[in-house]
Amino acid sequence: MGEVIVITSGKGGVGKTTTTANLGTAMALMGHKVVLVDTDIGLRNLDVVMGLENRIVYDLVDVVHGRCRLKQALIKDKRFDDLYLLPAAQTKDKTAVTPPQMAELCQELATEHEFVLIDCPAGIEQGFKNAIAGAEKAVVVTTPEVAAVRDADRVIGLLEAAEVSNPGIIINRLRSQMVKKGDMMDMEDIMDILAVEVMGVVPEDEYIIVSTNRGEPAVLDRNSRAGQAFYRIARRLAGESVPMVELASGNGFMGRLRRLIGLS
Amino acid sequence: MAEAVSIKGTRNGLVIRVRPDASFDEVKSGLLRLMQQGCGFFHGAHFSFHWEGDGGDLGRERELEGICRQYGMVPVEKWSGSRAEAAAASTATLLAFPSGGRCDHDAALFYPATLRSGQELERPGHIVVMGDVNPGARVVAGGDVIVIGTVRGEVFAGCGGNPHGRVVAFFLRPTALVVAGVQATLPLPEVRYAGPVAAFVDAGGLRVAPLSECYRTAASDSEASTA
Ligand SMILES: Nc1ncnc2c1ncn2[C@@H]1O[C@H](COP(=O)(O)OP(=O)(O)OP(=O)(O)O)[C@@H](O)[C@H]1O
Ligand SMILES: [Mg+2]
Repeated sequence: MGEVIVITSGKGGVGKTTTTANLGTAMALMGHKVVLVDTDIGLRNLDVVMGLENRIVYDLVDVVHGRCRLKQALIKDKRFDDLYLLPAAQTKDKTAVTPPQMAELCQELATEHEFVLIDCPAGIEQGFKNAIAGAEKAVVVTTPEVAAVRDADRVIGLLEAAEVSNPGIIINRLRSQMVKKGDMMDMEDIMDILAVEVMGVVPEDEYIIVSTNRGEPAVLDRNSRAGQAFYRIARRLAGESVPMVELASGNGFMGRLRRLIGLS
Repeated sequence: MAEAVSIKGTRNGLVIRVRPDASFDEVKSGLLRLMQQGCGFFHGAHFSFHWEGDGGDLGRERELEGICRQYGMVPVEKWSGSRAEAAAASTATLLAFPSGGRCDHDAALFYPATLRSGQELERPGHIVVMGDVNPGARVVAGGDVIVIGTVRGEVFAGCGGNPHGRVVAFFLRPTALVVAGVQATLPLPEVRYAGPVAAFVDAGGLRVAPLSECYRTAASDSEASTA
């Protein structure tokens, strides 16, 4: 049985879809069998980010309502044989499926794939409930901003209540210059509040916009800093132990922690 | 007159003291009453008996032990040392003596984790949070609010006209703080103190100070009221 992992955030626009596309592609690059599920019904994006928008015939809602078989709706990636996308419907809304239906769908996907990555919509309503229904693990994406961290905290509370255990966080769009100047929350502040495992830090990187427009996830480009950060996170998610090079050593909590565990 | 049974928190769990001249029936009903008032709160706490005077008889102690076990308490000899149990026991200790019994509702709510954004606790009595109160979370208590961590969210203590309510925490950086109906001006003054701080109301209005000062104020208060 594969592992079902939901990528969520609470706040919109912090990088869930970008994260899902990159982690999934990285895992396929590592040789894993992966399926990406877009649960943002009505606002689908993942197909564009993956460059697969022209291949959609059936979608998730069609599968759930029995209008097609699961295999017919799965879109095979252009680059990898073992990477698939199950797109969201664009013409319906979040109420078109229910949490039990999603749980059943995830179960079915997990029989054929090692990793089922679920791209969650923004918010904490029905779309969120659908997205987490079949997940056994969660990755919470946040940016280093007060509002995003607060929403991440809210979502972690909801995940704990729903017994999606031990969520990890990804801090996306970090600008180290801004952190140095004290204009952006640093890792220490964020970890203090959220108090969960940090799976990785992804820098702000203009290349993400280029890659999104081209439909080529950034992990495929060795020169993209964000892409390489996503690649390391994917390896951690797949169970490898990869040192946290993103964390600049210092006298903050992380610096002390790194020294404590002998990393610096 | 002193109660036939009283419970005292110690480092090794709860010590149940039995008054020597009380009849066994008094002791039994006293213990039952305490357990019922505890509202399940003693669950998981470790306990032992202390008989004042010439000591208890084993048969009777077994009977009392049985009552405690019914309420989920664990005799000290069987201490298994798990962290959860230890936590339960130590908080039980804390709650057995809620702010000198100044709250009408003796049952306290114990929340064993960080309160995250969007989560809310509300109780007529005291509330203990074993974690932080994060931004966007809210705690509303008729009595005290005790936070074994950092307050960054909204906290209301001494609601409903209890002038003795207070907020105790290791760090107080709330986004809203109301104690006994008095709203704090934020940000609160930073208290440089390596220990818990308290927000409370005295003659001078709402104050934030090391917890020990709050006790001093409380003590002089009660002297004044008994005089
Ligand atoms: N590390 C990054 N550096 C630069 N731009 C980024 C980065 N991560 C994401 N972006 C950009 O931020 C925008 C939002 O990203 P994305 O669509 O992945 O967010 P989302 O959380 O899925 O949004 P929604 O809540 O609407 O689904 C996109 O334009 C994306 O290109
Ligand atoms: Mg998205």
